[in-house]
Amino acid sequence: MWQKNKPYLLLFPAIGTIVLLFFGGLFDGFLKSLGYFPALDQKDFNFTAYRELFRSSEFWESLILTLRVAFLSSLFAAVLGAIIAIFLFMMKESTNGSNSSIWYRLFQLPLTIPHLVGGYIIVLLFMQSGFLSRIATNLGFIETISEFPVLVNDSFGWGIILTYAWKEAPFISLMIYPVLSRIHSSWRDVSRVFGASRWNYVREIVIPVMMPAWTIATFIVFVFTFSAFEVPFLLGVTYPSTLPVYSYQLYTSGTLADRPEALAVNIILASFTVLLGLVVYAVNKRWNALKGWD
Amino acid sequence: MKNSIFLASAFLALTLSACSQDTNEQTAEETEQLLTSDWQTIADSATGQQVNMYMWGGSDNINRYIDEWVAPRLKKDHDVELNRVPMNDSQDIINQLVDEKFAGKSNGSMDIIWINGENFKTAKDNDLLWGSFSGQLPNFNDFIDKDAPEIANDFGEPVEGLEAPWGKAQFVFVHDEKKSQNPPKSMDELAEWVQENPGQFTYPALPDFTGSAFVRHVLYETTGGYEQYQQPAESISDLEKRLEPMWDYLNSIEPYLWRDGETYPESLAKQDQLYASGEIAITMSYDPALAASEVLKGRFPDSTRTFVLDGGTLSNTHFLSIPFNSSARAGAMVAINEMMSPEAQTAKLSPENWGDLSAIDLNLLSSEQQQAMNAVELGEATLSLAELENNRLPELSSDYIEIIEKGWLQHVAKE
Amino acid sequence: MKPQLFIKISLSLLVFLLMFLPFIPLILSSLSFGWQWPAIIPDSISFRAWDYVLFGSSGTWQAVGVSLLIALIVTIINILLAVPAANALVRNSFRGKWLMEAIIFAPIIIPPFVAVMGIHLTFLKLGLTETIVGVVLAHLSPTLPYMVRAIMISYQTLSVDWEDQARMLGAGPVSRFTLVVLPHLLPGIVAGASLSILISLSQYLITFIIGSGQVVTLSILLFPFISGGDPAIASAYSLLFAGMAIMTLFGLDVLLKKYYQQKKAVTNKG
Repeated sequence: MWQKNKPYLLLFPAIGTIVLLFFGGLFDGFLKSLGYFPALDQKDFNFTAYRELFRSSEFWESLILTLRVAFLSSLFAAVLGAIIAIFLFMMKESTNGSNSSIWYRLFQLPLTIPHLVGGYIIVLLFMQSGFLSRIATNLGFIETISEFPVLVNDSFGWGIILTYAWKEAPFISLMIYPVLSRIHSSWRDVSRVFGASRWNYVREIVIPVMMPAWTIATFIVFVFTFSAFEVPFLLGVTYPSTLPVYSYQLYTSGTLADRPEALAVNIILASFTVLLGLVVYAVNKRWNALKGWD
Repeated sequence: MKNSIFLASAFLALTLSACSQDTNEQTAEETEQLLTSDWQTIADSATGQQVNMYMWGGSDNINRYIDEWVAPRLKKDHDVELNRVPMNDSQDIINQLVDEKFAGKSNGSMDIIWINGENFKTAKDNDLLWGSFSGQLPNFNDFIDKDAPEIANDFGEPVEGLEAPWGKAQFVFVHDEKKSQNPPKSMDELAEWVQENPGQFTYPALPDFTGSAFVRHVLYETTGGYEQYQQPAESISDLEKRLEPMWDYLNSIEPYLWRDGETYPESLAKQDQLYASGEIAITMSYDPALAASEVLKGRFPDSTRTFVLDGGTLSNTHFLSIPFNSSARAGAMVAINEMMSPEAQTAKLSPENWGDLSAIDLNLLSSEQQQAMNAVELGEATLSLAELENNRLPELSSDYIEIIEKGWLQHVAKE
Repeated sequence: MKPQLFIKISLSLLVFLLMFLPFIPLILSSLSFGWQWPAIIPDSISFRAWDYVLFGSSGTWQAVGVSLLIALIVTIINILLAVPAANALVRNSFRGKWLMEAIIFAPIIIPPFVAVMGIHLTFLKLGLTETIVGVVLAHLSPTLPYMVRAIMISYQTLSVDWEDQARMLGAGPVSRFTLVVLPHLLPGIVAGASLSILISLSQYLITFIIGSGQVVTLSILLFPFISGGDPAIASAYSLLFAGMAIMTLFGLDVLLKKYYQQKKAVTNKG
């Protein structure tokens, strides 16, 4: 009896906390998104909030912006992160790991920077009168402020994308690097015996090995940027705003009447991320099965 | 398994609610007495209270004025502890009160809130404010011109004693004397100026407070004066048509704005950053002394000056109020009264502290107090109090503002 | 060796571009007094911002204290919840395991503010808003999954045999846990704690919604400045904020190393 129930008992405190605080909150929000406010004497369910949202162009533009920003951020972070990880790995290989851990640690620095600060750093660097524009002017590349491209508080979302590419690339390299470290140097020797070049070695061994960890890490970055509030709030524009910012604008509009819509945005956001999670989970599982790993 | 989770959740919820039952209820009678009893009684019951003041927290000048000038004096003279709570937006304050009202929270943490205009109207419409308290304050009775329209009304909304005036503001344009010798003094001149200097002008995206005020100047000048709008918006049947020249004007200057008008600065603060770094040549402010204090800080160039339009600029009053569920009402009244004193208002006027125009009527002050106030060095960038006074236009009520802000998104931003 | 040099140069360049360059404008801006475009270095230096942030009445130190206190409580609760959970997930296979994992890791995928906005009014009615307890509760779900994940990794390399051996040598459950299991889990716990602290420190939205202005953490204090307030002060606060996060993580790392050194010394003596 004890042996059978033991895992449940051990899990109970953690599960209870998440169910109560997290799923409780989701459920609470879901009810309110259906217009269920008992204290306001609204006890019937309706889909008015969802209908209103799907009808408003603001919502759709917001969704498109959010998808674009999340896609480009995770793409750039994935590429940059993989480059860092591969360089670190090669460094380790060629020096037999003596001082590679210092490099490894250096690249973790942006991870420790809070997102708010990261966003502000990007503002100072990339705004039209920012640090890079000053450098470009002094080097003679541009003459007036308006020649510098608009990269912060722009309607495309470049500022947000830059922040996440910078902040999350080290995260991705951190997720891949340990997997790469498991590649034995003997594999390298073998591949050399068979006449593989450095590039072939990277393409045939390094990239396939890191692929599963890479997709998962990129997916986490995608979901994170898709649902983040602080950086889009600071670096975005009023219209269109990303979904989390849009939800916040509705939530704090000063009237309870807008609440169901704000919470409906949240529920849509959450459903979307869960759906994505399931897709990636399934893809990854099949992939591993095909390659005979796992 | 399912049952045990459910039980545990129920248990946790119970313990949580048991821990949090705060039984710190003040009797309603006691607090309502504050609206009728004499000042000494109020001051006595304020002793030892802690007063939380919720206000925007993004200016070190204003923060310092409250923390280092007002708070120590309140502590010393009245044993009232003033605790400033930094907020990002005054709309967040109203939103929080809406929630507390909804949840029936009777012992709230907000004792003083800094509001005006739309936020005041929302608060008043939703019964978020405590009551008609300003008539109880000695400094209100002694130094404020109660019948002046900008004191009796807040953006067209009757104040009815629900809030007490703290300071006044007037819209000014800010420019760099070195870059533009002859600044435009009317909207027609501005349109010409913008075409001659593409990319050098913009205004904060609505619903930014200052951006919205700029658009109201356009309204007054392109549709024939403010007088026609001194009535509720509903009673003008052809309002939409009357607003058209304003949208036309804004769209006609749009291509010549900063970034070709594709986007507008998110907030005045961001626009000020653009001006500070030389990206644009003109900014604006609803605080006539702000430019001087920015020069003092080294953010704006020394050659920064302000100007008003020949047809006048908008002016309004900002207020302090007490929310419906404040737990330290007497303390809040004492604190607000202190902040309206001639000394506090004179200190507030000085650009070194804040540079905010005083809410009190100069004529009601003693000659010494008048001298002290006139002696405040406003800085070269600030216009004289007389020049500001002579170019004042009244504000619009918030029903218009709402129509304009919504319309701007449709007619200007989205197009 | 040519390729090694190439790798070294590329890495150094990456470090410079990604880790060093971004902080220069932040430092300059915090010290600037009127910094007109296109000057790369401000014309004159002023300590006004630092003076306000560090010594003024700004309440910075109190906010630092509140931020760290919340992060610490959150982390301790996380450890207590995560160790048994990780044990169950790694060492047992049982019915509904996937569901348990899905529940625990859901907050990584679903943004926590969704749950916080939903539960906000309920918290308000329970009197949990405006309290540190409420903010701690709000910070638990975004941090716990990372803690569980980190400890699970440690558990995966902990063989049941070691514990069995200890049992055969006569160790009771408590000493088995403190002498065998805990030391092995420690690196995972520290890694999880680092993440948990970091995530807790950088929350703005959920801290604001639940704390409602009364719980002033460093992010709450900093937000009005970086969303369009005074840039010099925003920069000084940003540096302080980043510094606080790095120092805390560095401190944890040092503690872990010290612990291992001490343990080594003890085993050497014995």
